[in-house]
Amino acid sequence: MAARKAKDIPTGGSGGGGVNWTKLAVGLLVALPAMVVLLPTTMLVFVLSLPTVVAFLVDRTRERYLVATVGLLNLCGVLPALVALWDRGQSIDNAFRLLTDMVYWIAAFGAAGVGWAIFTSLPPLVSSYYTLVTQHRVNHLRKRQKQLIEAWGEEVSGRHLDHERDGHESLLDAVPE
Amino acid sequence: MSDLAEDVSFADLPRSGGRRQRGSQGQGGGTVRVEGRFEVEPGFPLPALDQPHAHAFAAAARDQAGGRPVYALVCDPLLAPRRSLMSQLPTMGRLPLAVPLAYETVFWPPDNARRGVLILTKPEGDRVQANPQASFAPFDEDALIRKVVQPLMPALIELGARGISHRAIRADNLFFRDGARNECMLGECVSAPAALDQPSVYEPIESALALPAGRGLGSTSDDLYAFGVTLAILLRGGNPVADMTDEQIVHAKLNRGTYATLIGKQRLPLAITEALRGLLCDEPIERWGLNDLEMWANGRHLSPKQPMALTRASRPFEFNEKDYWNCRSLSAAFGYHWDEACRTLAGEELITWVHRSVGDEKRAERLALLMRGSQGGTSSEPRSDRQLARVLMALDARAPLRFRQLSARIDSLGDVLAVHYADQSIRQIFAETIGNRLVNFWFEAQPGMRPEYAVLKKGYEQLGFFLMRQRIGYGLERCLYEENEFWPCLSPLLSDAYVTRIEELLPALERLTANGLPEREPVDRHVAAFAVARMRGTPERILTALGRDDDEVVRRLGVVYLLAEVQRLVGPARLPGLAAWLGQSMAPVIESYNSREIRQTLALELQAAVDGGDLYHLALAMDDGKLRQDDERGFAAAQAEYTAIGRELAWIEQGGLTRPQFVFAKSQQIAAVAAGCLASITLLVMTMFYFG
Repeated sequence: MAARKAKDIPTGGSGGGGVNWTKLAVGLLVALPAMVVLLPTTMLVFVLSLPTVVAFLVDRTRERYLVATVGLLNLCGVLPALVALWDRGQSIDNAFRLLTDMVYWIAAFGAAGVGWAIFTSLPPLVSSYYTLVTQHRVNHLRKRQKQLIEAWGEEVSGRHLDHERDGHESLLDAVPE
Repeated sequence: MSDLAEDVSFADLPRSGGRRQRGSQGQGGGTVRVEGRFEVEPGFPLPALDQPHAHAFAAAARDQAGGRPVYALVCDPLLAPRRSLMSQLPTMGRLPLAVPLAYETVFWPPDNARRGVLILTKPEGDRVQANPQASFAPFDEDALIRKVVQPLMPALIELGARGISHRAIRADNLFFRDGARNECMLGECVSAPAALDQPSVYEPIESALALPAGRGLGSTSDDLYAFGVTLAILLRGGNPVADMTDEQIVHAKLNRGTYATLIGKQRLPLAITEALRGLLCDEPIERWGLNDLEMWANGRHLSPKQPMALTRASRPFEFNEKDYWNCRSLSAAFGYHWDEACRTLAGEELITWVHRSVGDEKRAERLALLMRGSQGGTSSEPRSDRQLARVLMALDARAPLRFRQLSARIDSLGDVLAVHYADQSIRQIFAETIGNRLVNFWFEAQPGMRPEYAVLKKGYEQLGFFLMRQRIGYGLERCLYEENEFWPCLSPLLSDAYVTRIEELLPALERLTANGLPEREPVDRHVAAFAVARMRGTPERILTALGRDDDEVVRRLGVVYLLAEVQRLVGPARLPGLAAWLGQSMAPVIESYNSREIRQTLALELQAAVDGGDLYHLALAMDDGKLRQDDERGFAAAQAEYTAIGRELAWIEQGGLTRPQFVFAKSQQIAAVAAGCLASITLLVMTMFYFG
């Protein structure tokens, strides 16, 4: 009942998995001035991070492991260009000049490609690994079950459910007078 | 009563010593020591001193050169001697009375079993009457007073002053005190329950109507009556009614009075007549007391008592082809012929007879109320046993409580149960008597309430409670031992041990293990009831545990706890044989623990307790509450773990680890982690390169 009432009360943000407009507004309020002030940097980072944007659009899972995998390495690939821009001075010209340099494209997109490669090549490897592990795990669990039976008897397996006494000081205390 | 007497005769009971020993003389194998002070010779029986339920053997005091001669009586193993008198009588050794000097349960070689052996002062002369049927030279007045009355007076006075009833005063239990036959002495009175050996002729009417086992302790008045009968028999030179049945004797006493029954028309000296009329008076209130007898013995003469005059009906009541002229004799006849009485009482004849012929309207009304019951009309159906029992009470309130074959004074129902315990029908009748609350009806039928009735009533209510609970520790066995303080435990296990006191129970069980551990359990219904009755205050939960036939573990623990309780109270401290006996039955208890480790520990503790012979240690080791709790908790945890493993195994075996979804999910996680690691390393290298 209380839960239902709480649901009925309107909140500032959107609930559940929808867009949180308040947070978005605050974020834009901070980010937009920064983007305007650092427009060359913003331009450079946005163009070189396109693989991450694509990954973001492609990966619709809640955990977004693909975004994390591609994004982290893509960020490493963007860093040399970013350092060069800041070295040369933040201007639109410098930004465009750097974008025409293939080395930085290769660095950024190559790193993102490594991320894509890791992400796509792991499943067969992991599958092979678990195939190898399965038998070992089964053996280990069966051994543990055997140990439990040895220590507590066959009843521990639940095949002899005649244990009805519990929580009594002694058996005679359990006897009604 | 003769039929009843035959039904309950003791001829079929196994006897100790005596006859069997005489057949196996020489196998005695040395003397038997009693209380360390007397030595008994099993190879030398003394048949002349045998009692109906005990057999006599030669004995001697070890440290008493030239002292009073003694002899031994080996008591019947199915009866209990009067132990309560054994501490009182020895101080009366100077009186003309065979007094018990020692009593002990000892191993009796001829029977290869333990028996109660009594040591008594030995009469130097013969019995006055060799046996109850024997004839002898009649005593004249002078001899009777000089040899019997005067010597025995001090003994009767002393017994009366101490409130002890002898209950075995009879001519065949009188002995000449010396070879010259100048004085008599009373024989012993402790080898069997009170009055058990008394023929009906020696008992007042109220007592003679009861079974021999149901005559009870009685009073000094009963002793004086028996003394009067003894005098009459000595004067007549034998029992004048020896050829009569018990029923005939009772009817003769009821119709003619005891004096006329025994003396008939024989002319006796006036002084003797005076004493006999006083002692044989059938009205207990009118009967001579010790003072009267003493005065008479000192020469002071009293007016002779007149015979009791019962109200005689104007017309007789015909029953069983005989005419009865008063209510008491009719009641007695009904009691002797129970089944015929049930059939006879189908109509209203009895009520009409009491109303019109006897002229006792109150009694007639009471009978009508009993016989018509709640229906308000008289049924022509035969009367129920319960109804007849109440009719007998209405006809003769002073008579014993009678119910089918059972007939006992109100304080002796327990004695009847004990003496006749081997008789299934008596056991059944006893249970019905208590269950039908006939005892209460008997009290209600009495003209007045006595203080002792309240105590008896409470006791019988308790017996009713025991009978309602049929589980071990209760039932008839419990009634038997509660009502009879010194009765031996009748467990088949202890048939040769003669255990009468709780202190003897565990040593007797210990002895049974001497030749290997018996297969039966050491506690059966008799052992349990005996222990509980003798110990007092046994925790109820032990008895409840003993009765848990549905839970073998709890029941076996109950057995150990009961015997441990006995050991704690009365010892002995070490009972390794009994502990081993109990230990062998502990397997299910140990198995009831789940943990293998705990079971191994318990097995070691069990062995330690068995070696130490400590039953309480054994009980506590087998029923350790904390250990059991740990075991339960550990077992629950293990069970949960086992179940979880089972679930995981099932998942794996169904391809859980190699399923594409699982593999893909795991791959994604691994990829993210790997990318994170790689990015960190790259960042580190780049930073070093940039600033390096």
